[in-house]
Amino acid sequence: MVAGDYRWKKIFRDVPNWLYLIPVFAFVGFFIYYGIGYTVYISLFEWNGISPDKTFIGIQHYLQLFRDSIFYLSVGHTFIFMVITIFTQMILGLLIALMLKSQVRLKAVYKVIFFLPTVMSQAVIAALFRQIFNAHDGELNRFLEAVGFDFLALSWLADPDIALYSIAVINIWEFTGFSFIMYFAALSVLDREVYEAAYIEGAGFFKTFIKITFPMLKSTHYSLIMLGVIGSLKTFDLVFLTTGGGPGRASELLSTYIYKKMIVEYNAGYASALCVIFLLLTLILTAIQLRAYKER
Amino acid sequence: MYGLYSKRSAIISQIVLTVLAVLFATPLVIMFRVSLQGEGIQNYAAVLTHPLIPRFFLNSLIVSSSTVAIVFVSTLLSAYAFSKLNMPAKSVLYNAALVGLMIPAIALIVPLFLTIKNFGLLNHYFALIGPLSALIMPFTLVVCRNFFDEIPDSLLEAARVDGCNSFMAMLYIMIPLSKPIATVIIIWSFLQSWNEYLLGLIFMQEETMQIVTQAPQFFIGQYTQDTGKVFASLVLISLPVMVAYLLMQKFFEDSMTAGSVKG
Repeated sequence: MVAGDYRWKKIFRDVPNWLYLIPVFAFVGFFIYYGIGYTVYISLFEWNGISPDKTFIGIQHYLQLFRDSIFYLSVGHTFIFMVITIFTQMILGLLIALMLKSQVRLKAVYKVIFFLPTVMSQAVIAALFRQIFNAHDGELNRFLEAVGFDFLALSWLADPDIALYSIAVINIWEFTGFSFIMYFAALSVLDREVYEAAYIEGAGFFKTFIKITFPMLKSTHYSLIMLGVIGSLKTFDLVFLTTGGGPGRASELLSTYIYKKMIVEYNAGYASALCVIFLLLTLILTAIQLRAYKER
Repeated sequence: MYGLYSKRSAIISQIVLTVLAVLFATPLVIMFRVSLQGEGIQNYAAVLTHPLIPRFFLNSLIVSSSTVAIVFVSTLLSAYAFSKLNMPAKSVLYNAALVGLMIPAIALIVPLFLTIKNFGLLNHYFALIGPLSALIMPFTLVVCRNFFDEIPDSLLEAARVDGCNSFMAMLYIMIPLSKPIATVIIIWSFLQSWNEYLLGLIFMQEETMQIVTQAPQFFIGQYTQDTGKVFASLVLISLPVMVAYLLMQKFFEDSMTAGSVKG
């Protein structure tokens, strides 16, 4: 009993330490918790977000969502975009990081060139590439025509078959520098002795890479995949400002579809149902990520 | 090291890197060249003398610096408490604070849009500062707590023995040791808020309240056929962040890699 009393006293004594958490929970509470709750609530109504009367329709929006071909299309596009950008950025980033670790000159210059796009805003990048990828007077097609590859001068952003891939290329240009810097930092802390042992045993580059370098970068691969997944889910600016999800629905992502439902069509109820699916995906990813942070 | 010893591997690397670097630098070179199309350097003069340009920068600066300040203070306080103090339900609260770690603004667009509109906060700085702070904080909290966990508790205990309360101990012991993580928090939250586009698009509809990321669309509307001037605006908009990066390369790189999981 006495021990129990003591424990309660100690717990009570520590309660004021909650004060330190007030600012964080004020913001997180209002914007994240209230936001999530409100989204779930609104998803059960037919409502345009403005009129005073909303009609309760239960899970109708979710049933509608599972029959919505544009929903599946946008999820599919998001997935394709994710796979292409993540793996290309990882391969290029690792390649560049490794090459910069060999005895090359001008390291600092290369580093700046690869990393600069990462700090630029997507609003600028989108405007820039809309010009470069322009079918008529864009720099890419003018270059292709000048070197005699006229047949390759496509309508990069206006052709429904390739628009999504063109946007993926822009994304790769922007974020390869990020993958590179992550690998570069990770390579710098790898154990020197392991490599010396490999060298003494006469292992060449490829053998060293497969047996040592690649496996030892496991946590970086993991981080880049996680950040890439969430990055693709939240991709909005690039698509919105280049194709707007088009032509037609050719580059529609989950994010641009939600935007259209809410801001353009004022369909608050259905947009909320889409957001709930989106939030579920991000919360699953968060749980996985938090577990990884704890295991470190 | 890394199996790259021979002269040959250095030469191959040099060639491949050069090809890739040219490829990556080309869009930037194009951006600069097109910005001089037509009236040359006059394009810059036209954009710089546009009455709204200083306004866009000022708006972005207000939004970004307020966000940085809020994120910075909230992060330091909570990371300190989670790392160094006892409190009931600590791990539950920690996880609860991190729920927003991977939620992007677009997923909360319905409540954000409706509440901001109902509170009459359209075209108001707080419409951006509030959501940005809430969305950035979970990440900075994780990296800051991880940093604080590495600082030995014994330093704080010594201060406590000397009669410091927990707040003074934070002020005099933790804060002076926090310089590396402070720059990470500041650069990360500044980049995130400076480059935000979606929230500006939705909430800042009045011309005088728009932020720099809305400027390209604004100038495309202003100078429809004059690509040179549009691109001059792109260069001008990018310049501050690029210069900041060139001046503080190491800090930028550290901020970017701070979130990686070390296994």
